[in-house]
Amino acid sequence: MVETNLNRLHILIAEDDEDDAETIKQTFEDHTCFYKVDMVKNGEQLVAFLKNDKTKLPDLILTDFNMPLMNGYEALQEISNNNLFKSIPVFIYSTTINPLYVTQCKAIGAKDFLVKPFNLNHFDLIPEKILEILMNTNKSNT
Amino acid sequence: MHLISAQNNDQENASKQIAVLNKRITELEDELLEANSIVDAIKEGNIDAFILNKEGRSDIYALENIDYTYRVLIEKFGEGAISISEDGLILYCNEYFAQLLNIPSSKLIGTYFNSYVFSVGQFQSLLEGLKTGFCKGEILLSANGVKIPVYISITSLQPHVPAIGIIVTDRTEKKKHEEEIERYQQKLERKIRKLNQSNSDLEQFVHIVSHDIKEPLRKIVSYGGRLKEEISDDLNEKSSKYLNIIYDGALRLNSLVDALVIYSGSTSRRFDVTNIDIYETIKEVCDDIELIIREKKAQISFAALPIIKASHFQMKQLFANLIINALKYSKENVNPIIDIKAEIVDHVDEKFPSLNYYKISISDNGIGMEQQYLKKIFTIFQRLHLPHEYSGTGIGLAICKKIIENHNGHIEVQSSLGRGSTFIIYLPA
Repeated sequence: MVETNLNRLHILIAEDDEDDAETIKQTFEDHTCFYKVDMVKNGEQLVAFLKNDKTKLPDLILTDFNMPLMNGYEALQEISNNNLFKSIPVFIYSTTINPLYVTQCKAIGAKDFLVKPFNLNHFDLIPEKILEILMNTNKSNT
Repeated sequence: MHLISAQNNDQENASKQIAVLNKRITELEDELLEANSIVDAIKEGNIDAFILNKEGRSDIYALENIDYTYRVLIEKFGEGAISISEDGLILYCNEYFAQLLNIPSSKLIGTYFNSYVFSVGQFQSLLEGLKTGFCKGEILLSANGVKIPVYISITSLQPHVPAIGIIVTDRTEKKKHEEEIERYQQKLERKIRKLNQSNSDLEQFVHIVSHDIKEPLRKIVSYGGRLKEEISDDLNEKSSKYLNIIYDGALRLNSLVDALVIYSGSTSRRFDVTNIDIYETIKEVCDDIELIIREKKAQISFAALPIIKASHFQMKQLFANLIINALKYSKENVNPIIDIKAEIVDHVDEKFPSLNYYKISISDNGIGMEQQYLKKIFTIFQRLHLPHEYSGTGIGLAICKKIIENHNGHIEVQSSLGRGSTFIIYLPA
């Protein structure tokens, strides 16, 4: 992975649930390390977004697992099979964690599999967790 | 005159003697002829028995005691017996073989054995084996359009007789049984495949359903929580109580769904089996739940526990559930004492009769249970107490039972109200 400036990040989020989309968007917009938050509603839109303007690729992607048309796993597959996109770190999050999905997703390059919190206040932990993992990746790369 | 007369007398006597001797010679010649003809007959094999007159008594000398017994044996024993010439002509066949092919032996003798063999290739390769001595194998005979599976033993009768002996065993019945067994086996394998399929379908189903249930549930809990934070000050006592009931109900439903997912995970038979030191496993469990143990001032003693082949994750879950269960149902104001012991026993289980078992018992001094409920406690969602008395989802012991079953073991409980409980698990040694 190319070293990313972790203080000025552009994140692309795929979330089909409107309530969750609103909360997660707000969470990242409120965070000082993220300057740009783009939202799409499923895996298809996620891949289309990347293909649309290759000069403005996000620094990282957060995608829900269960989504209509193309789920998070299928989107991850498309991304990891594309030379232009495969260096973008992808995080997957979901309400439930099926160990089988976790293994599958990590096998094709997902950075981590996060759980959607039950307490709205805990949404703030998602960007923190993501930053922590990215920081460790940067460290191990240098 | 006297002399002449004496001479005449001498001559008369001599001719009388000659006549006697001649008669004796004829008698001896007859005897010799008879003896010679008997010897010839014996040599030619035409005699089964002969009778000798001795001192007015008839004695039978029978050869049937020797050869005939063998002939009857070959003819009558319950296997087909044939001999064939080296170019395959049937020289002899017994009645059993004739009946097997349903062709009279008179019609079989003089025909080629190959004309009754369906699997000629197999027979030829068995014949090839003759060079190394003796050969046995299965072939398929065919007569009047009926196929007969047989097992044959081929023996060369050289150098005594220039022929090949074949013993033919009818395998029709046996073959039928074998085919039936194979059919059953295939049926069973199909059933197992189907069962495995439906098991993994069910596992996936549980995950999908639990996800779909948890999605809206999470909304209720998260937004309910937010609502409580924001408006509980503005609500009157009743409304605040209702909101709490809704919120707690949603939390409880959530933990039930979680437990269900864990339960369905523990039903899975796919797990890694390694050598597990039960002592170490229980130590790990006690470290994990140290807080509860300290809070309850509980004493947990365990020593000399076996090493078994099992899933580490499932064994940890098993003992965690059992110990937490014992702590949870402890008597008020009595420090819980839990004692874990093991011994090796011959546990008679009709499914695994030959195995030795470790009998591991977990005894507590808790509230115990009434006899009538003991059978119910391993059933999923079966609870003996109201939720406000003791928290829990009613899944812990069901998970224990599943884990034990996954490891080909057995779990039971002995208890009486007010006197504590002893959970006994049997695991293959």
